[in-house]
Amino acid sequence: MKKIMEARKTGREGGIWGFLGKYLLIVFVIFLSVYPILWVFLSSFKKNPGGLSLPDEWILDGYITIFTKLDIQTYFLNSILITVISTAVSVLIVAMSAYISARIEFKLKGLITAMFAATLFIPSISISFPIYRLLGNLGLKDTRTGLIFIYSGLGIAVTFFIIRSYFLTIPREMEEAARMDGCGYASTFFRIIVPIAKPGLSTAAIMAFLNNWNEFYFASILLKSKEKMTIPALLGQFTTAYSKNLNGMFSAIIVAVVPTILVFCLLSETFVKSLTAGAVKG
Amino acid sequence: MKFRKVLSVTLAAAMTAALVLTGCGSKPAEETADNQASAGEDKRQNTDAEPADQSEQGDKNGGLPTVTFTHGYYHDESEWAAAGEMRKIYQEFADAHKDEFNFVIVADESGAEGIYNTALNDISAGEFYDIADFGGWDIVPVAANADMILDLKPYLDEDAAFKAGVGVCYDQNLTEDGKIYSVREQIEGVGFWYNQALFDKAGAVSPDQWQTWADFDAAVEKLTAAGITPFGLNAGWPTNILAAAYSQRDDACRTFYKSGRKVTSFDDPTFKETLSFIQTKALQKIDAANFGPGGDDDEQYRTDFFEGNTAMLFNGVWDAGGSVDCKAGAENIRPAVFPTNEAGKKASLLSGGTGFVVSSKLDEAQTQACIEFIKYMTSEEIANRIISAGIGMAPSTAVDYKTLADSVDTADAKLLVQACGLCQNADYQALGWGNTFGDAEGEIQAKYAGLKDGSKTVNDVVKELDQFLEAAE
Amino acid sequence: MKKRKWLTKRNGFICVFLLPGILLFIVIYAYPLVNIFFTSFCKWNYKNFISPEFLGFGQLFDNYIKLFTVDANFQRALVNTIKWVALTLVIQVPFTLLVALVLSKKPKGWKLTRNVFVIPNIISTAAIGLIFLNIYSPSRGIITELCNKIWPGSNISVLANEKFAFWGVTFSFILFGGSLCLLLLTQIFSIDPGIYEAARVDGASSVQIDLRITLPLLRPMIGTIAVMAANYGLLLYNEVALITGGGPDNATYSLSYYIYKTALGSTKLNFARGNTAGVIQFILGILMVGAINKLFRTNKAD
Repeated sequence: MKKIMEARKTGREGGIWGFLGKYLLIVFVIFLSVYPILWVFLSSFKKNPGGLSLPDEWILDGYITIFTKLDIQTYFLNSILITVISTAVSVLIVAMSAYISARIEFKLKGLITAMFAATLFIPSISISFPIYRLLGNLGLKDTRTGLIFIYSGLGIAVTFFIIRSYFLTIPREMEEAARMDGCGYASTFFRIIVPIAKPGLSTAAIMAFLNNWNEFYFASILLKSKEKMTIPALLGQFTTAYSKNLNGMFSAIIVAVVPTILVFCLLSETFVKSLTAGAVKG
Repeated sequence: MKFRKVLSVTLAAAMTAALVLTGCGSKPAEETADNQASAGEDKRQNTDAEPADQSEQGDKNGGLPTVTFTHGYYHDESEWAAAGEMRKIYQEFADAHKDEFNFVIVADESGAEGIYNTALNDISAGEFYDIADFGGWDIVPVAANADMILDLKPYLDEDAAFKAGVGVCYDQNLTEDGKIYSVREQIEGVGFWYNQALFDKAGAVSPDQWQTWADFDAAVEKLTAAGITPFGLNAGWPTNILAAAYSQRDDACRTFYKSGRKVTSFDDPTFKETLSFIQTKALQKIDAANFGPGGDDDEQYRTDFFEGNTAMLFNGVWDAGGSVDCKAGAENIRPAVFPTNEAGKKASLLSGGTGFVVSSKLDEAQTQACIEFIKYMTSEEIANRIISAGIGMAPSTAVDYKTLADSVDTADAKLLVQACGLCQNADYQALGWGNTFGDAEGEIQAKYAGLKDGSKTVNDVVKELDQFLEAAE
Repeated sequence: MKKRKWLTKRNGFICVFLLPGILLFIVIYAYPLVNIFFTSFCKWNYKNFISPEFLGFGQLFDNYIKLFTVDANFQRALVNTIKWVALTLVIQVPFTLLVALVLSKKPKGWKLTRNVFVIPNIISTAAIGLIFLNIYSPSRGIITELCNKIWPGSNISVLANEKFAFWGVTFSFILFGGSLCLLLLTQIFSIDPGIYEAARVDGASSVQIDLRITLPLLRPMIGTIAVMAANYGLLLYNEVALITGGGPDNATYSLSYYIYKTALGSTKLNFARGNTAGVIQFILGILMVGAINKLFRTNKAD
């Protein structure tokens, strides 16, 4: 195993041009990705945002407002709670459906795939009214539970496709072996499939998490009280009827984004480990 | 195996948390006596779930009727001082009437736009706010057609002071079937700002001396000749202001402009003349760099003016605040209103738009409380306060701008008072471009770029606009 | 006897596992889905906001006819959206795939690159929109400056020009394939290293390995990311709303933006027309997914 990894690392690459091309691409990707956030970061300290130069004068007003005047901890707690729970619920539910769709042949299988695919193309404006009415009837308006419920359902199509295509790459023999050993369907799923599909599940979870973390439209419609607000609400704090405080807005973006980036980078270490551990033997 | 354990623990935690949250959601949160805001939210929640719950709620609060007022001034004071002042104004009303009714004040964290969106959702579910400030977002047509909102006209007609307090809102918000569903305590007062020093430098006649639009043209020529950019524009707001102002030049033009909301064709000689004025006398007079890209979001035209690079700024009275510590020199900045083609007569833009809207489903006592509140908000006292605190312009015709100018201390507050006075006393007061043309506003401003670079003629534009109107039918 | 019992157990399992997903679908999506189709044959605007009115069989397709005959904004939106979908398939998917293949060789800094590549997907599109607005701004941005260096005096204002603005919107999202790259990497690393070893023993070069082994094995996942990318192009909204507002002169309308503008963004609240466009968007989406699935045979495991 070790030998193979090394071979992969140093293996016969296509000479100097291949090497150069490879690093040019990497540099390009890094520049492409870092430029925007770096720009926001520098701008959050500037009176007049713009350019990539260092600020002439470091302005901390935006950050001071955010950390002293606004209820940032509450926003954070709410965001974490709502996003984490909805992500977990949605990944679990979708994983179960995706497993059936990927593995078991039955008459209405095509319908299930079509059902999830259909959710991709429904404009969110069209969902808005029915959802609002539904949560009103359930008494879940202006509650975190209501939002968790909705977030669990948003973006299920993407989650479904990711997880299903991962399941499809898992060799059937593994389950058949388990089934031979007397495992039921459910326990095959939880004991065999879920651990193997960890990388796929966590990738799907990351995607769902990112979407829900940044979602603002439903949050603004469904949550009205200040103590239930989520992080994206911060951005609006700096837009008044007559002007925009760009400095404050960029500070808010940094405050909202940096924790996610940190969490992602930290998680990605464990994530990588799970990747190598999850390598499927054919 | 381990992963499964982690997963099940996470899920268990998730379920528990969800349960706990449901509990929190349906149970009223800490209902302390002084925590009025959170009490209000609980109430809203309850009324949303069961509208019939209202009287019960009233009983709970000592038998007094309860009204919930929702507004969009949620900003922290350090971010927007006006928001803090507005909340104070609301709170004082609630305190003054706490023996008569419970006036619950709720700030919507997503602002006026959020209030509008929520209202649409509410209407689709057959509900409406008790009373809310829509801050310019026009909920009236849909809410009135759904028979959800109260006609304020009878109340305005029986009280002369109230009618004076709402000023232009009375006429502007009068619907075809003779109803007034909304009035506002603040209006968008728009004239323009100019830089006296730059006019002097160019030897141009300054706007306070102008008699007709010909003087405007002459001044623009002089400024350009002296190498001074006369004004900054973009594909939206400031250009719309100029177009709307130019549309007040004579009777025929004003008549077409007044019918803007119901316009079925833009093929009108006065409208074409306005467009050709915008094309040749405004857009083509300035450099491309000032003609920003991102629609009306680009603030460059303001920056240029306050840095002393342009001689005129087409923006509302509230930009008096922009003069503070600006490079152009606060002492050079003056407000003005637009000329017409009737020598010496002036025009300004005063747009009320949609402000306070009251539900038609309230009982007698609640309705009375709402009317009381709107009267308070449009009273002379509050109007003075709104102007002198630098929040904006009030519609009230009862304001005495001379006395008010003496009562304020700062230079920018004086400028604001002066600008409001000019707008209020102009001979013709018209609604803004957006309020006049509705959806067509966006279509019209989309054509400015083509007009500027000459890729579109006025006739092309009119044809395309008519096509839009036909499609929107 | 035994077989039958097994069968019911199997069916029971299918039901239990599908039920939560189906419930979620019914509660959140089923009604809107039916509603969109139904109201596209109705009159539904601010005048009858509470109760959409059926157009009657004589005028059944009125909304559709209006869209295709007189509504220039819709037609522009449709063309743009189809272009965007095609561009994601032609640019975003191959670019992301290339990055993923390069990173899968674990060159120095691959981890950093992989993590950093996801950052633009983490930042909310609201922020991305603002950033690009500034990058393209003639007075503050870098593009105009660059163009002036190459073609002195060109003074290009990306967003003010009808032809450039489309590309301005396109490049605000099309290269940001970080999370798609993550998906591909996950899949590449799950390929059995033994297969590579065998190929190496046979003397295959790394490009050959990529082409002959990795790509075929990645096929279902490439299909998935193609669906995701194309879907992003199909539903493109935030970038348009924040960067160009559909302009200049409505040249950058997307279908989603048209739907918003017609339904919610207008005082006329023409939901019937918006939903009609929604139906067309929906049909386009189904066709798109069908085509991609066919192309990549995502449904088959092999």
